[in-house]
Amino acid sequence: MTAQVPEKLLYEGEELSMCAEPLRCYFALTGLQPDFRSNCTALWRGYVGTWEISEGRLYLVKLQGTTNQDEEVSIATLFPDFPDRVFAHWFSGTIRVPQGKLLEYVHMGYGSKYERDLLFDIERGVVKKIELRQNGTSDIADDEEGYRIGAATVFSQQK
Amino acid sequence: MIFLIVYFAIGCIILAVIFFAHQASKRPSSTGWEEVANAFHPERATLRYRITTKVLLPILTGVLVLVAWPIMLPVALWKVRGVSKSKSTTGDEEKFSVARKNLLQQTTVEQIEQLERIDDPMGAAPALPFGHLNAAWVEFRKHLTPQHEIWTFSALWEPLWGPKEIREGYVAVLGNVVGPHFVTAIKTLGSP
Repeated sequence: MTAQVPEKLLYEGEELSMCAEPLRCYFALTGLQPDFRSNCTALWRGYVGTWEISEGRLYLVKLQGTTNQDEEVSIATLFPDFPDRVFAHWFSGTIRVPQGKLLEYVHMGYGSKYERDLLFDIERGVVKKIELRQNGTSDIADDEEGYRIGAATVFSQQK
Repeated sequence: MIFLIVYFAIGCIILAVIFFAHQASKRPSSTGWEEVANAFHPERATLRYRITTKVLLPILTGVLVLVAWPIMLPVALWKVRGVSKSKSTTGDEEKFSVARKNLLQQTTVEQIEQLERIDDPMGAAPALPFGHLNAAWVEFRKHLTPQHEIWTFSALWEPLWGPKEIREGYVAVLGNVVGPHFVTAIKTLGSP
């Protein structure tokens, strides 16, 4: 398995990397999931969602993906009546937003460890708690900050 | 001569039994899985590997069964037994269900629909019971009769892949039968 491309989170004017997949929960609850095409080991789920925390609530504001039938998938594909913004009331759990420099790289899922984790505790789409977790300090002074993926394999398009 | 014909005829029958039992027990092929396997083992994609595994090995196995079928007889029986067993259990292990021990509190459809109505200040969800999950709720309601009791439930679920989950929702109960159910929340266990 490869480290995975994160979802995006818009929070207080910043675009952050979000190590959680609230749509996975939606697909499990409804049984409705587009046949997403995955042609890269760093993006097995086949889509990237952009989320926003606004007024203490979690919203899906953008969705990018392609199906195996070459159809573009957007929010309107899943939620035709709400093409611009969807309240993620189906999601309960913790959203982890890694910050700072890399402490330990794990080439699997969202396993890598960073200096800090911003944790959003969500209950039915509503933010209940926000916590900053300190994981340590990097020894590499000039290392760049932010989420990263070491390597990935891209497959050729098969039809 | 007749002995040889009979011997190979039985071998052919056993070969056919093993072949069809193998086909019946095979899982549907998945392109995604092939891609994963090829990514980890690039040699799988070579022509030599494919000829060996898809042509040479099956031919050699067939010849072995024809020639030494008395030894392969247990294999044939094992294959046939495996098929009948898998047909009686396919999918059952992977299907989430609610048990009586998971029931929490009896409620009513009216109470649920009042409690679970979604109201979003930005209007980003239908103002209906369960919001974006309303269609699934309506589908669940179709299964209910006046004799059904509705209970809330909370159950631990261990998916084939990934961490354990707590699944919560509502379930219909009729006498000793628990189900169908409507899952409203999936909470993944473990630290983020």
